[in-house]
Amino acid sequence: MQTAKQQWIDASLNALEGINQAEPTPELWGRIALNIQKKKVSVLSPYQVWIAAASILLLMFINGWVLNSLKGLNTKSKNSAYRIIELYELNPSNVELP
Amino acid sequence: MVYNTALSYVQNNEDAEEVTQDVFIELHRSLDSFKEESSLKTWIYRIAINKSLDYLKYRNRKKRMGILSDIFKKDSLEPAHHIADFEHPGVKFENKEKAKILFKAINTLPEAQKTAFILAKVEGLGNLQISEIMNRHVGAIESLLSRAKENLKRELGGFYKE
Repeated sequence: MQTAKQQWIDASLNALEGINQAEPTPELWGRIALNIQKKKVSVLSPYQVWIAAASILLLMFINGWVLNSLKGLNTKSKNSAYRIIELYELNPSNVELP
Repeated sequence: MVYNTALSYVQNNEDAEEVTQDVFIELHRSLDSFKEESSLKTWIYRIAINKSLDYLKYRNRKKRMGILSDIFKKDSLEPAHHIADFEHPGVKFENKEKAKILFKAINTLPEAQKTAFILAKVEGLGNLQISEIMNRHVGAIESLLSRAKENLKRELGGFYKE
């Protein structure tokens, strides 16, 4: 025969029989919809991230290329300036002439 | 379904709503990656269970930190981290008191036993459905449920008042 304790334990173990589903407050669904909407605005798709990364790389490449071509231009104009100085013997005023 | 599952784990309305929110955001985020290897219901249950277990871990961590800070706080006289008795709104009136104790005992179960028991007794799912959700054989679920019942009986014995 079952003891009172054993009976109580068995009854407690079966306390969830016939349990109904619990429902959240109706406002929860509104909050969830709002949250999803917010995430939609702020989250970038992987495609967008790749496009952004590729654009940055392209900009860096163009920047480097333009800087390189400017460097060549500077050297060229410097060379022509020296040629003019030599040709017209334009010496600085602080250098004594022979 | 999602809220009810979360509520059985976290045993608090506000926390269950927070978990439910997380579940739906995760569902929305990863719906594209859903492969129809399992049913949508199984997939939703899996996410709900994982989010609930993650939330429990997070809450336990927070509780531990709270206890530590209480030790160093001299002026705290009352225990700030007492968990109130949980009353599931769907339990029949005549079972309310016993269900409160049962939920306390469920809290002490290991994760897998807890999941199997909640899915069987609160969600009312069959062993086959539980095995799909937990990705285990039906035999393993039967064994988990029988171990859960044994552990619960032992735990409930401690709550018995003569």
